[in-house]
Amino acid sequence: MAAKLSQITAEARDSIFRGMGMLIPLSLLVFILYPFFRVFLSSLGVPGPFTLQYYSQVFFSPKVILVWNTLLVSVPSSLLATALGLLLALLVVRSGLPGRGFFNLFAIFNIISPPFVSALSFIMLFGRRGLITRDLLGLDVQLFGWESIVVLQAFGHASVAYLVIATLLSRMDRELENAARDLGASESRVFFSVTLPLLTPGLTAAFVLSFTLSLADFGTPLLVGGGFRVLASEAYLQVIGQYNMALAAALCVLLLLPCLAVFRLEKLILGERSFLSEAPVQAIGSRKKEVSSRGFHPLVTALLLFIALLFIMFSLSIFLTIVTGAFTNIWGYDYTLSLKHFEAIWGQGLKSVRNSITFALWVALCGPMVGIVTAYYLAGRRGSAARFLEFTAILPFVIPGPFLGISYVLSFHRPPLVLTGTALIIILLCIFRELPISFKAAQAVLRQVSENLAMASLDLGANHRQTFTRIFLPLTAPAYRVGMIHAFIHVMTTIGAIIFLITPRYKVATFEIFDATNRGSLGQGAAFALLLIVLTVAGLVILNLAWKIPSFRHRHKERLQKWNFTWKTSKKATTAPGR
Amino acid sequence: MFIKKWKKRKNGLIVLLLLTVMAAVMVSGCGGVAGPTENGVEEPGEETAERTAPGKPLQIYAAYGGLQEIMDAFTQDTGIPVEFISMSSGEVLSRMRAEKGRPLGDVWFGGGVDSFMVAAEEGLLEAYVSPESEYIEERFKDPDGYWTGVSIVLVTFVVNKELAEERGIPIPETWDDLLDERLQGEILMPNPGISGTAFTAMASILQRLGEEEGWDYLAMLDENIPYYAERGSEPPNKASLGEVMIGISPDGVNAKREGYPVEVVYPSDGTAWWHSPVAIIAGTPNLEAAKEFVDWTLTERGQEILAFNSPRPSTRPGAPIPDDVPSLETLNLVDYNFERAARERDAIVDKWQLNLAK
Repeated sequence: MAAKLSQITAEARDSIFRGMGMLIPLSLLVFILYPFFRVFLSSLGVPGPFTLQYYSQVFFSPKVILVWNTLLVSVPSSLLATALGLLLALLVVRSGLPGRGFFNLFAIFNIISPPFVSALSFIMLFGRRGLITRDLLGLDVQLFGWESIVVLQAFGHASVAYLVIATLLSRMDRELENAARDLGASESRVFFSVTLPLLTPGLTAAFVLSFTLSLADFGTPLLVGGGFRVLASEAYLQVIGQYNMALAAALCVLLLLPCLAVFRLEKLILGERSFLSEAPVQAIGSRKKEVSSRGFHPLVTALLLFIALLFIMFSLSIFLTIVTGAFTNIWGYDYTLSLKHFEAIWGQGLKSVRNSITFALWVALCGPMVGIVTAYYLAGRRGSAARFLEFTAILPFVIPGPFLGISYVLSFHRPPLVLTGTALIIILLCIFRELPISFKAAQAVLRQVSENLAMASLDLGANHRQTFTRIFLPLTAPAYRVGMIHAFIHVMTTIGAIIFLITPRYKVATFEIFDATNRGSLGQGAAFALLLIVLTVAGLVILNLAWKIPSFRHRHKERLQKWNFTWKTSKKATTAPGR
Repeated sequence: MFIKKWKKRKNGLIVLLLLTVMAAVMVSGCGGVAGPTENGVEEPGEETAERTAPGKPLQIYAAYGGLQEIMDAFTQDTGIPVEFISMSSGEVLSRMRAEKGRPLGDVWFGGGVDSFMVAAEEGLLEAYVSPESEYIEERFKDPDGYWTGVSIVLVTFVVNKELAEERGIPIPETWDDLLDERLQGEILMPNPGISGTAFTAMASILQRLGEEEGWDYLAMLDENIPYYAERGSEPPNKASLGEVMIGISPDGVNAKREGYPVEVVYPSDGTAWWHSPVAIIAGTPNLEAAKEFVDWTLTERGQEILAFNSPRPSTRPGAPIPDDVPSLETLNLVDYNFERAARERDAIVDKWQLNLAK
């Protein structure tokens, strides 16, 4: 009797497990594809008669310049960011100089820096009355225009590019380079014909990333653009200034085109060539006897060092400006120490900060699960339906934030699915926005190890559910971690995607920064920004603690070793493409 | 929801996950503010929609300064809890349109009167004639009771005194003074297509000087404007920080209160103005509390709180105002026709876009 009962519950559990399998494609369709189509329809005038007027309003009016403006900013800024990221990565990974950990921390720190305030700091430092441009250099410059946007974005996104490229560079199999050297190639030849081609996936990924980030960025153009308009800022202004949702939707669709284009370009460049998908497993042996780097020419090292120093100084000065602004009396004018900005934000402001943390934790903890389960669901599935679902799962990677926000408003305000005004819609949006990271990371694990393992497990009589919980889940722990960290940082610092969804109850800290700078209370904005930075760092430390619990780590390690994989292998294999 | 299913597995990862999720729940639960955050976050998957209902805090969309202080005072006076979010008038209108039939906000507080007129026309507002509104001047309220003005917004020059001194340029007193060629690149004004301030200023000039002369003036003024800002907050911010000498904005007194070296000039040849109303959003489930809020903003005490926390003249004669706010009698207000301006809005913005936009 008891045995029968347990059999029934086991069956029930299995069917629940299979039910969850149904949920994956369903949720991808509902929360990614459906909103996507709603924006598209809305830009065509639906509801109402079909019309192309919103597109013609862009193309056959002075607004057409927006398209060029957008490219004029995004292309150079992402090229610069990628180049800067590459140089920094080369310096840190290859020059053999100490302080790599420090630099990594610094780069992450730079990513955390919240929106708007960096732009304001930039003005305070380099503006007409800027501390550096006027007081230090004695210049009288007017800092308006696209050049400022490019500089700010390039420096901001260089950190992202650096992290992507550095990860790849440090994992790269150096046998090929050594072989080239042994055959008599000069260092520069080795670099240009071996190292750089091997880095192509990282470079393109970094470029695509900074390109989409730059396209979606409406804050920087608004603050330092000096009337210079791009598609993202225009879409934002169309919604807030002219209540024109349909035109905003059309602009968003236009914004998506270049994103999809670079995404496609990346695929074309990389093609089916495999750069390292199998490398980690095979390269373990060779990695151990890694030849010590001969290093760069001293002049090159000096140049790299100079650039890195410039980068560090730029970011550090921005950060110090935020600190200064938060603790002094009047932003950019009266530098008497004061705590008044923190006192001012103590009431309602703290509620927003708490909302930020709550959302970030929910997304960081639940989000990666969705990505991992999706990867599991799609693993081993072939055919166009599966390929389409996979594309859907990585689509949020290239969707600009405001597009996603508008699409959720359009999709989930009316039945059948009424979600606007809740915290849930914000969490869901962030979960699906972060999906590609944990999905990609989990997929990487799966490609390398799990197919054989899953097969073995199934052959030995375990069912799919047991295979999933006992083999797949523990293996994807590193993917979970990567997804979690990215999600936490992004939700804490995002604004573009959720600005259209927040309500009086669910205000977030980034919104408060935006609002404070709007009101002209720049000191309060800085105080919020500083609080946000501190809390994000604290949150990251706490979330990372889980991976430091010795017993857990130990058991995990043992399990992996049983299958002849080292902890390092799976960890390295799953370091995300980053975002 | 997946997590529950795995609970029985004694897998380290899952136990850990559960612990962290619980920690998250605790963080969201022990927020301190009773009520709102308690049930603030639902379990993902439990697809319920929550709405404001009687007894829940009043939800306010606001385009107003000093909100925290104003709302605290209201709650203190009436015992009604309030949650608010600041948004520009355009954004409130967009939201109300998107939310028509299922509004998420109860009250719309402050902003440009033209947006309120549009909203009333579209049936987005609830008509309510407050018992207090009899004390408000006729020209500051809607005859049908859809909205009632709570304060007067004045378009001013925010002038950086230090910069003016450095350059040896006297502080301009009139719109004509702004044409001084020494002010080239020194005047910042928002884009009238985006900013109600800029549009009202331009329409006022056109009404005051007449079409032809008005456009001539705007063309000359344009010579001194380096670019048109995309946000209303940029001109006063940049003037405060000395990036430009003059910002055209209604928020000069705020910059002065922050402590920046600015002078607020009410142009003596015609100060543009509009009234900033309060209104109830149609279909609110929280009607009684919304009415109480409207009443409160129009009482003498409410008007005083408003004027002191957001420095603007009141619409209720006799309500106390702070020293740094001028009384309406001392100003030369433009005789402004709101209906005409609304009618001509598109034409004006288009013409500006064609001839003057940069």
